[in-house]
Amino acid sequence: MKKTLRDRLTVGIFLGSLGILSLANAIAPKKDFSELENRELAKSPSMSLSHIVSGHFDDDFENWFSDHFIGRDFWIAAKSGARLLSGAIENNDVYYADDGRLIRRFPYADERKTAQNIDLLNTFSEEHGVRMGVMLVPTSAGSDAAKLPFGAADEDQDALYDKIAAELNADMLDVRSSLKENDCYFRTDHHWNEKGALQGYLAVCDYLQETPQEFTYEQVSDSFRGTMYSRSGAFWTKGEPIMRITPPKEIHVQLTYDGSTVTDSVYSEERLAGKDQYMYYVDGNHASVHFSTDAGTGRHAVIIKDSYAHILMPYLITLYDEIDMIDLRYYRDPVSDLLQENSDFYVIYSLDNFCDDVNMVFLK
Amino acid sequence: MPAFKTETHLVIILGMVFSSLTFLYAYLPIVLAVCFLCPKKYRNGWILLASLFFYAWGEPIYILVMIASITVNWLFGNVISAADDKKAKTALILCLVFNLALLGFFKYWDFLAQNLHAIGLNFIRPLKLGLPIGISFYTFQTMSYPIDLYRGRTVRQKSLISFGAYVSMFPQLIAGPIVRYTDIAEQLDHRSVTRSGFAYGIDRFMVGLAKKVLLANQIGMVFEQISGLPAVQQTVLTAWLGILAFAFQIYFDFSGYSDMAIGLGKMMGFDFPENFNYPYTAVSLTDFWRRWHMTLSYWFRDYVYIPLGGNRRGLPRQILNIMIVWILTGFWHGASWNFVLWGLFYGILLIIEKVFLLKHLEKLPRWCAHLYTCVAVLLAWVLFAFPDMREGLHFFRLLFGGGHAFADRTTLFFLRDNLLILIACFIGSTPLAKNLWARHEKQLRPLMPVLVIAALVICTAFIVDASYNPFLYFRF
Repeated sequence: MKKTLRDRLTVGIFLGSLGILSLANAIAPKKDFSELENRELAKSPSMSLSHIVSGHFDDDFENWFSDHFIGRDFWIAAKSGARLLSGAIENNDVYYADDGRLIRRFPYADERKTAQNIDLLNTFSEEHGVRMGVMLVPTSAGSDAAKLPFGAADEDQDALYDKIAAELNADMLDVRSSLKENDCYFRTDHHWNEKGALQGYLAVCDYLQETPQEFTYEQVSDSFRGTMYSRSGAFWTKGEPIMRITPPKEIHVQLTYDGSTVTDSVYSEERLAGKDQYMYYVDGNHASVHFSTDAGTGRHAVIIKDSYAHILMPYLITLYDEIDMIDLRYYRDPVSDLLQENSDFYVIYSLDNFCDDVNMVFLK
Repeated sequence: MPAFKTETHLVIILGMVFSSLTFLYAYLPIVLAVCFLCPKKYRNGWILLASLFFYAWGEPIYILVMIASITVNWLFGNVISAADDKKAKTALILCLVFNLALLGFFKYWDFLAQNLHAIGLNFIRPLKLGLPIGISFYTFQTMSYPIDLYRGRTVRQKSLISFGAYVSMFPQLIAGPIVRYTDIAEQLDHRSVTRSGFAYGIDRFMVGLAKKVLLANQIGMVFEQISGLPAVQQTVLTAWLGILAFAFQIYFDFSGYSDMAIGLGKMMGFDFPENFNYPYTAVSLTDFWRRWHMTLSYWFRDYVYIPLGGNRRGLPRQILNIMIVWILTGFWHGASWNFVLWGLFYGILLIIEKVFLLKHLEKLPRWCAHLYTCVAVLLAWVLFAFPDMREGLHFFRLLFGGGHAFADRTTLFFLRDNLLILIACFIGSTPLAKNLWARHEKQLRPLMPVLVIAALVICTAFIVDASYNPFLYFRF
């Protein structure tokens, strides 16, 4: 190739791609909301003089410009693909694990927060004279460690669990060993799936000395792309199923969300049309959900939890007449007011979240 | 981000950066288009306008400081070139006082106030003014004009607009290279942009962009993660990997910026001086500083060291001169004691080399001399990386066995996860790729347009991704 031709090509390609992309970007329609990121995208910046002089205009403009950049999802997937091809084993702290499984890193637990949470729970239990049943669910990075790529390094969740268990004055509902088999986690999400939650249910049955029932499963979606899908940028990953979990004997249930909205199902069908289909289970995050059922066991439970508990609820309604499920992120009333004579009190968290959560201080 | 405050990093926080979507897909196309559509005689005016906008992007108020600096230096230039020697000298001194006062006020006032406060003197207060972007670069740059005018090395720039275009020129405004007036005096008034020059500019710009986005930013995250590890995961090897990552980050960040500046200059018809020459291949610290941020070293040599007498007044005086230059160099990098310490470290080692070590180094096998240089440079970067000297000291302890083990799984993780980037950084620090290219230029040349487009796509993907912020609903 002649030098002049090469120069022409270089100049043409560079100026051409800059020009075309710039123009296309300028005229492309803008979205308000990013489904993948689950957030509102930046609004166009205010052009007022005071705003410009304040020195914030540039940041606002750049945020807006990159939030709405043309083909945003394509670029993000391209970066993730480049990471994968370059031999990296993770992107944005999500491992590319065996068979396209996306597993969140759990590099280390925050020792200070962990100790504080242990303390707060012990104090609550002592003050109110209530025995705690604590289920700390290891994350996929622990249970599925064998599926992680070579070089992965994470917190030793078994050792971490043992340490916490030793310091908590509680009955530990240990699900660790059963989660190491059986494919207990979603492939594209950080939660455990219906098989994982089943192990949780079995642990509760064991705790209550109840005979477990046989549940049936019905696939209600095959297009669930969870948080790890979003975070990893591995947008080539296929969707996966969401299961409806049905007990052998039908249970009638009434759910009251946040003290007002009432429904008669633990499933939220309309969530299957959205991005985060895990919200199918008890409608995602609410400050409080009250369950009353016709299980006829005469039991009442208070559960403080993170979202790992949601998929467990279709199982637990077979064991309790009444359940108060509390999310301390949003709930500010005294939890102790919910305790009745002989209530069972559960703490259900994923292990990584338990070590990182700062909302346990609201447990009163 | 750990708070290391080199100018290049302040740029990231405050101003428009070359490696941003706004620059690549809004600012640059418009600036280039207008630059080539408008008649030649208005081009300097357009460059000035575009550069002031570029500057105002991060600093809408400090643009006044920049305009004042341009005007005052230009006016002093007029006086210096017209007056007799005595008056010219007075004018030069006044002009330098003005420039240094400007720099001193914005960059060192708070530092001075805090240190006076620390020894019980409270007559000045910290003002907490932000540092105008690139002020360290452009005051040094601007000062070369009156000095060289006085020395008779250049002639007066008649046009305030052209002079303004020189001072504010956006490619090198915020992170160098430090372009002296004499470097581009000729081109300010007469320059032509050839297609091959433009194509070279593109190649160079893309190399710089790739260095910044694909290497510096990525390896920078490794340093960031390593310096934030909890004590139980701090090991000796991880610490060495961390400081190596920092060394790569700062080199590819800074030299990438210089490449982009040189490339953009070419696109507009300017030849800026080179700023880096594979510093990590140096075989002594003396050699290192002939290869690292060359325009700064040469600036200090020509405008401080030589006027002080250089090596012409005997060894003791030379040692003093070296120390002065290196304390100033350290201080120039930031108003903080760790930078002074960093400068002192180099000053002392360079004197040792000058007095006797260099002779011995030359006799050693090359790899020994190279190893000595690398270790010294890495240790110096520890001083540089941690403005909080307690953190720096802690990191030194880790490097020399203070961790709980020599290495652990975390070390393996960082090595494994960043293997290709690390290899690329090692290769990129040497002239290997460049030599290979030169040897096979005929065969490889047709690849260049392909590489340009590939680099643009990958860099754009990484830049877009940097703004990707999935709201982690499960993280509360």
